[in-house]
Amino acid sequence: MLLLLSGTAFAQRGLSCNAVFRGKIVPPQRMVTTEVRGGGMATYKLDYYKGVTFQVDTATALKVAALVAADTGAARSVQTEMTGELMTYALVELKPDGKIKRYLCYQARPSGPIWKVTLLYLEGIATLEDLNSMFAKQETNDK
Amino acid sequence: MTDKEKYTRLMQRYWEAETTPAEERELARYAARTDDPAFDQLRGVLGYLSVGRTTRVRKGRRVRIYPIAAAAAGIAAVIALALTLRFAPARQADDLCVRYAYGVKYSDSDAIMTSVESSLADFFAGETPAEVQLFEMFQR
Repeated sequence: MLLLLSGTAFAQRGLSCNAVFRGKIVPPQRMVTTEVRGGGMATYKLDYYKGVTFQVDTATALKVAALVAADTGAARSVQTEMTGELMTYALVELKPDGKIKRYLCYQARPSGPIWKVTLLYLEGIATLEDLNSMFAKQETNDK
Repeated sequence: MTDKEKYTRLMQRYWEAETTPAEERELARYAARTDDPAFDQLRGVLGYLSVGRTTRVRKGRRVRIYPIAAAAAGIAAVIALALTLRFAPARQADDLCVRYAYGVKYSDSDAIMTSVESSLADFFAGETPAEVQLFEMFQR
């Protein structure tokens, strides 16, 4: 777990959301963490995938949303949705690292009095158009 | 009639060149397993013939090595290996595919990649992230 977290810290350095990925907001024992790096992501023109999912109360969800919002400041493009005061969706294209594009994907879904939050961090050469067309095509093929 | 009598007669016919190939093989087998001195001369002859046949067979199966062809094959093998290493998809040393669900490690790459694809598809197609479904699945 320490190795996983250290890798995460390196990948998302400079991001406010790094605190979430590192388990500073929600303890690692209370979330599902997925990390894929290398050949497995080549299909999507990505090199790195990091996903965390957890369940929190509204106060914590607002804290996470605030961190995501902080990372939109220097983003190249941002799509967000709000539910009341809480940001419930964000697709953020972060400032690239050289030729490597970076994305932050966030979603919070209500489940009774709590929120189920998903946060992804992606790196690779795929453009937003690539990703949209890639998965739109898959969806079309599935129908 | 004992074996000795039978094979002694057969040996006499052998010396007179009246035996069939099958009888000669049978006689040779007997001569090989008996230590009767009466068959020493026969063993000597049969042994010689046996060695002679073996030599002929070995000569027939001898593999001739052509130095130039061997060298060419070796060079071709080295080039093929080099090309394979050069153009094969490089698997990086830091490749990683892992999931921690509430502190428990999972490393089923197929399952992880399936959920990764679903998550990406869901996000970029505007659907519910599969990570949420995964969370619900692992939720205790």
